[in-house]
This record gives sequence, C-alpha cells and structure tokens, in this order.
Amino acid sequence: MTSLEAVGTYLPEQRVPVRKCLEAYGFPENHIRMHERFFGFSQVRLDPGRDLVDLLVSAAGGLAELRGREHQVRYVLHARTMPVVAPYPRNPLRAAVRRLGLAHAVSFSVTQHACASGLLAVHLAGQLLAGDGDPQARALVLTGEKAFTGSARVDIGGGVMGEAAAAVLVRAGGERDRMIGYAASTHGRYSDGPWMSEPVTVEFREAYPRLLAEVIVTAVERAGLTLADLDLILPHHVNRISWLRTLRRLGLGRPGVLLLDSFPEVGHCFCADSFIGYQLACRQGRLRPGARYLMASVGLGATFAAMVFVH
Amino acid sequence: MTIDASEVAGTVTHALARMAGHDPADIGPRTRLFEDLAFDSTGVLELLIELETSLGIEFDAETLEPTDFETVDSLVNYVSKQLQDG
Repeated sequence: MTSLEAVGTYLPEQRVPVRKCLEAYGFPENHIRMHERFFGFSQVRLDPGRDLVDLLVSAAGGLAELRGREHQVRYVLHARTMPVVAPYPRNPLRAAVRRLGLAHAVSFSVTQHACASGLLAVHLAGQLLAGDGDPQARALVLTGEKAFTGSARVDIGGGVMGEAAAAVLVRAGGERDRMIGYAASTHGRYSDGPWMSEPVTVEFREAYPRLLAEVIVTAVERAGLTLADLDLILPHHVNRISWLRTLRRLGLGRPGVLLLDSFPEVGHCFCADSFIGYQLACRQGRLRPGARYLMASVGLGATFAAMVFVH
Repeated sequence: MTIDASEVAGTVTHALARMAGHDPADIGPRTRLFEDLAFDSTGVLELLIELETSLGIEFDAETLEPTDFETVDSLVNYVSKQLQDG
C-alpha cells in the first residue's frame, strides 16, 4: 500500500495579478474578466529570478522529514506537464538531485499524463517501492515547472500557470495518508492538447465535467467507498466553474467539500496543485485522522485522474 | 437595482445577437442558446461578462445552473433574479 510520508511545498514570494499576466499574453478584456470572475483566479506566484533547479530544490527543502535520510531515497521522480522543460543538454532533474544529495537514487521524469502526472508518479513510486520490498526505502516525487513557453502559460481549460512547487516523500506501507484508490483515464481524441482544432476544443470543454466525474467515481469505487464518504476534494486549479459543474454532476453539493482556497492565490501550478491544497488543508485543520480525501487532476492530451487517500 | 423584465430581455437579446452574429428580430424567448445560436460553455461565460458590463451587476458564479442557459427565456429569468437579489 502506497502512502505519503510527508508533503512539502514552495510558494514563490512574487505575487502577480492574473490580469497582468493575461494582458501580457495578449488576452482580450472579456477573457481576462472571465478568468477573474468565473475561473476563480486572482494572482499567481512567479519566481522570475530562479530556474527550475532552484524551484525543485526549494520544494524538497520544505521536507524536514527528508533531512538526514537521503540515503533511504531510492527513486526521484519529476512529475511534470511539459515534456521539455529546458534546452538541451541541460537536465534540471539531475542537477536538482545532485544538489539535494540524492545522486545515488534512480531519477527520471514522468510526463505522459501532463498535469495529471503528479498522481501517476505517486502511484509509480509506490509500485516501485513495493516491488523492491525494502520497508526503509523511500521515493521522492517532485512537481513544479517554469512556464517558459507561450503555450505553457495558460491552460485552455481555464488556468493561469504559476510556479509553486511541491515535493512528496512516498513510501510503501505506512498508515497515514494511505492511498486506497487510483484511477486514470486517457482520451486520445484530445491528444493535440493546446493545438486541438476549435470544434474539438469545444467538444473537450463540454465533455470535461463528465469525464472528470467518471474518473472520480471510479477511483472512489476502487477505494471501496461511496462519494458520500469523501470528506474533502483537493482539486487541480483549473476553471472553478468546471469544478462546480463536476460536483453538481456527482451530486456533491455539500459546502466545503471542495477546497478552493488555494486556487486564487497561487494559480495552476502544473502537477503541484493538489499537494499545495493538501498542505493548506492540514494547516486549516480540515484533514482529521481517518479523513477520506481525493486528489484530482486533468492533463491535456487528455488524461483525467483521481486518487483517494485516508489521512 | 430596478430594471423591468422587458428591458432585461432586450439587453439579453441584443447581446446574444451581437455575439452570435444574428439579427435580434430572429431571436425569441424560445430560442435555444446551444442548439440554435451555437453557443458553448465558454461562450456563455463571455455572454455573462457582457451582461455584467451592460447591466452593471456581478453574477454569483456559484448559482449558475446549466438549465439557466437553455433558452433566451430561462436566461432572462436568471438575470432578472440576479438583479433582484443583487
């Protein structure tokens, strides 16, 4: 059984209004207001003076549980949205791993589920550790990216990209934050991602709440639960309206079941959103021991994923 | 804010006509936004932004229901209610 031993996050200090970002990206006024009024964005956190290596190292630096135990880390996975994050031959993951004192670990990137790759990486890390059978072994999942291309800065589903990052220490076994259900569903019809034709983009947007609801139901069923058992949903930070539509479809009208507080403050941070939400939920006391919560994300391409945990 | 129903209907109809490229005279209470005017969910949000500007109000995103956008009549009812509640 996979569990999250610790979660650390790094939120860059620079806060930039989404209006300023979208104006710079050439968005018309009505689309800017749509992001502010309906998609739920206020500002994003950016880190213009620092590169991806700094970002990943800062995320892992937030994990006090990692210090002094680096030798236990067998795998380092960089879960990311973009297949290419730096010009060749730079390898930010290898550089980060060396700076973290983890050069002995097997390190690799997980990209095929785009923004849903964070959940896939947790799943893979748990599988690898379980296969090894060493109860002391750990895996480190890193998330966080620099929006360094135009197409990376705004998600067509309704997200403005930020540069907050998260690090997750994963173990096989363990009781707290135990993963009890995971589902991922890839719909190749939408494989062109941000380059889909207009009719297919429209079709994707209309299908989005249904496909997200379906994968949530599957993950919950695999966890042996019902939707009514969920105490909290930690969403990816894309389009608040689409989340409200998804909850309506699921019949989840309970106030507070969806954590939206981190949404307007940090922007859509690639694969890091649900982990940022996790930390916020812990700080707010919204995850009590035994609470069942669900992380969900959608990656362009298009993969819908959901993962259920017991705190 | 006090705006009568016919004024709301006129504002909604003109916004729909402008965005969909139709003559306002061709749009009636039973005209369907998605099927007849080819709106999608994003287009509907753009429409709401236009109406917010025209009417000087802010809609409550949490109250939006898909049924509010089925026809011109249902949208006019939604906007009127928001104006009353606001």
